[in-house]
Amino acid sequence: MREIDMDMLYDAAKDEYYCLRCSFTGNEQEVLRLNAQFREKYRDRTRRIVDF
Amino acid sequence: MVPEYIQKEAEQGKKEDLNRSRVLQESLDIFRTQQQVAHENELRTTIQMTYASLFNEEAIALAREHHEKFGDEIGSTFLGLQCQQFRDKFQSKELAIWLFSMEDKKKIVDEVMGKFQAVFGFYPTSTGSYYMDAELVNYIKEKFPMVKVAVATCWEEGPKAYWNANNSWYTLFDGGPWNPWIPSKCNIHCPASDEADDIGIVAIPHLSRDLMAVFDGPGSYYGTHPQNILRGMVCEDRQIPYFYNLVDQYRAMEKYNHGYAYNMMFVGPGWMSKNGRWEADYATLLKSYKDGMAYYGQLKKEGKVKDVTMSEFADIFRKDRSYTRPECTLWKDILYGSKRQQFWYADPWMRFCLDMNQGGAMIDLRPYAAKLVRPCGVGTPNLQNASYPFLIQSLYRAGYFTHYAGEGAVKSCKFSHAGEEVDLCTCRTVASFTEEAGTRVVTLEPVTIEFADFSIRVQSIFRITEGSGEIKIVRRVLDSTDPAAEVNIDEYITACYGTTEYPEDMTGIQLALKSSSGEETISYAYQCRQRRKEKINTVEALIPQMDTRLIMHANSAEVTGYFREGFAFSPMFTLGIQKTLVGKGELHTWLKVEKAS
Repeated sequence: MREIDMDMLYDAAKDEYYCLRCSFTGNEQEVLRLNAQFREKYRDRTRRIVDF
Repeated sequence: MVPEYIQKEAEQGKKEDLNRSRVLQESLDIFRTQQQVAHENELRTTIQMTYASLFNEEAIALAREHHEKFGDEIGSTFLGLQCQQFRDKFQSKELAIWLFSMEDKKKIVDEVMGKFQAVFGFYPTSTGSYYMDAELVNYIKEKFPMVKVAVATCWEEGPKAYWNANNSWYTLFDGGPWNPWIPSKCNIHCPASDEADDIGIVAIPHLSRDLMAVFDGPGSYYGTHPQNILRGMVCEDRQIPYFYNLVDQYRAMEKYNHGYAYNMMFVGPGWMSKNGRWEADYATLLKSYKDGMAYYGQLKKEGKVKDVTMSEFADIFRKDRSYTRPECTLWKDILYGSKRQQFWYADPWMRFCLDMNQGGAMIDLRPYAAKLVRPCGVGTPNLQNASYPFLIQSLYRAGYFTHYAGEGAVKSCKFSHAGEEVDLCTCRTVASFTEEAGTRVVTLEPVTIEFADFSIRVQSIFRITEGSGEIKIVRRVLDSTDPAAEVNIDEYITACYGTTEYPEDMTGIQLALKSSSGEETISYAYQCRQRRKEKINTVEALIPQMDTRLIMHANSAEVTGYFREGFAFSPMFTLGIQKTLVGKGELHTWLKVEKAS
């Protein structure tokens, strides 16, 4: 799946975010969980590199 | 003024109103904040006045004040065209200067420059946009010769950026240099060959980007633009050490470029909206900006960097710089935790990338020597597609791995023995850089190739002599566990052409084998023909669609050359030179890129 920047819509009645393009549905907790998972591929995201 | 993103967010659910005062005021407030942060860190800026801002007294007064008080440069930009005055005059919602017709480009240039002069009493010497085609810049230089520098492209902002933005952001300009250059009059992406070819400005890329991450993914996230890093979520607990790592890797480029290194931050007000942006709230956006500027300020205090305006930079850049001098860098992964390196090189003849994860395979090749004239905008054949074409792009055109027995675009080398074959693309390694009297040298750590009954150690060395327009590749078998075993070395290039993922018509490409005994040529017709010739002088491809000739030759007459025509399910061509060794030995080949016409 390609990384695509687009807004999700929020259905307040169901407390659910959903995507117009793919089939994702989920609440804020689920979105934050997936965001954290997304970040994991950047294994050096917290590392300060000074040796070049 | 009224950056596109703020406009869209402020007007969520509302009809468009270019004069919405809340938007204008917020934009000014953010600009003030950005300037304050820069000046607190004793950094000077180049204030790029949009056309819209030239009608705002407060913005003009701020620019004048900061120019006088801090030495900031007042420059122009063709970003931010859209405002009521522009709509009234040009009746267009178009935001991209490079996409107007040439006729309209000229009118807009005259209007923007004229308005600037009327407001400030002088013409700007710097300008910019996400992209400025050579035709546009040639016109600007003709009418306003004082302009000496421009933000002229955005590095590798092409199909990858288009996909990432839900196929709705029409910045299609892959193929240029990643660091400043003096462009050719023919095409803004190409470095100028000489003074006659010099377009008259120094071009800078819109953002300083992560050369590895951007080549592989959505480029916007990975550059010295802190809010974009937040957008890409390269952060943890609001901290982004990645920003500092990027700055430092750019500083390290001095090792490859005669002590010169460059970096910049270009952040428009839309990235610090009070509503937040993407996944980050305002406080986080502001913090990232402050932290980034503080780092530049710290480096300045330590004497490690010098802050200059765009116009000052242009003068510094041009000083004592020959047109043949390349830009190069051995970039390392600072994002994904691997040891991967890529070597990037750009000179007036070519741009290429070597991937050490694939044994030094060439995964990108652009024929700058062709100086392709490719106007863009309304009324041109290319319209939005302003990319400089490739001959190799291993991500768009498969590279080493294909889903079929066909081929993808890549330049590499294979070693074979008794029916076994190993491509160096499967032999990852690391490299080091040196320079010897005008020749840039990339030396790879040896790799071990294991056959069923023995193994060999192979080292690859790439040598690019300044001004030559060619790359020399040395493949050296250092040792063999069976000194009597024969090994065949096959140095090859599989190429095509284009600007996107989708194949172009290869009909008419000429593939040729030339030796002292004669010449054999075919015209590409998707018939999977192959030809071989011993004692070869050169193996060549003439790509008329790219006005380019590729030439391979070797340092020995005892080599065999071949070419391979593709077919529609493998729309590539391959050129190769082969040599058989017994035990130790080496093969030297050259790849030359020439303008065909």
